Amino acid sequence: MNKESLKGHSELIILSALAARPMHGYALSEYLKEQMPEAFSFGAGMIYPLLHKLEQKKLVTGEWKDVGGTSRRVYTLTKQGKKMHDAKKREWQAFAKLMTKMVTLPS
Amino acid sequence: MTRDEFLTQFEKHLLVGEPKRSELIAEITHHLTDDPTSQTSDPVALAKKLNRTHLGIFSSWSRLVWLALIMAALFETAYLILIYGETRTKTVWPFAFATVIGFIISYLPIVAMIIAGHAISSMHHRWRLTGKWVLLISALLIAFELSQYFSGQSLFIPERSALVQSFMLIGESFAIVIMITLFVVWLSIGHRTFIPRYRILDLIITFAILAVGTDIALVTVTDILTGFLRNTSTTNVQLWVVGHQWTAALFGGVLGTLIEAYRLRWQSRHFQNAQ
Repeated sequence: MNKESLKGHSELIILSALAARPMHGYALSEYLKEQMPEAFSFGAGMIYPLLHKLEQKKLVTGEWKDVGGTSRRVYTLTKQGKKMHDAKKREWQAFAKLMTKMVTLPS
Repeated sequence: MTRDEFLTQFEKHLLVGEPKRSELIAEITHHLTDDPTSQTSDPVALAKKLNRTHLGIFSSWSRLVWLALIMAALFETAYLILIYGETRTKTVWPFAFATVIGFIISYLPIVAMIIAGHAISSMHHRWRLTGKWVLLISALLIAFELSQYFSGQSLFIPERSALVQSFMLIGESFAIVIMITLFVVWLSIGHRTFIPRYRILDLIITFAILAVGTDIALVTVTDILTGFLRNTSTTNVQLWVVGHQWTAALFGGVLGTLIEAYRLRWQSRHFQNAQ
């Protein structure tokens, strides 16, 4: 599939991943690779700018925690982030339903 | 690229200052430890993206230079329009328009200093950058004033020798610019949670609009009042207003900005409590 088309939905992808469970940057990258093996990988160059942007918008919050004996910055969705995720999820589901209907019209 | 090479390049191009800088470096270092393949990505691009996220639109020295050049160009254009209106046309320009142009001339560089000061406050080596920025904008203002003065296209009448006046201009410009920029840098450091960064531009625009509005409104109202009722008292009021025009404009701008800052802070707290 065209990997570029996913880049426009990066924020929703990150919010959805963090809705599953709080994660630090590397764990998030591995989780996304596992969930979307056919799509592009979220390396350090994409993950951290996105996470910090979401943190500035107060959609996620980062805290230093001990993970496996090392200090890591773990990101969690805030209440505002959960609301935003739910709203974007509904929007996306409505969009996907409409597009599926349109592209499956008899030609 | 080795891990150390990656981190060296990354730290060199990361302009974000402390305390955020240490956090960012620690995060990236841990990521490289967990995932050595990340060393193949571009450390400079990563640093620039993080600069953009944490420092906003003026996230590099080159953008601050562009800010200085654009402000100087606007300043010079406004000043040339004013000189043309005062010296080349046969009719007197409408008072309100000339006042606005005069205001723009006075306050554009100050707006540039406030924006740059705030951007620099969260950068690495902030005092070194403040010094460079102050020298740059002082040099531009001085070059502008000297070129106007020596070409005879200045509104200022020389009372001392040109050389003495040039040195005074240099000292004055440097002192004003450094004071304003340092004040903004100091005010912004460690106080970023008082007013969110994206609201700073709102406050700058509030200040500019209210200061211009106060200036125009005050003069226009007194003109209208003295037009209808001309006596010694009203003439004295008019003279007082004209003599304290800039002070009143500054006061109006600052008062309005403080009220707006309090309102934004109250809204932000109210929203957080509602969460």
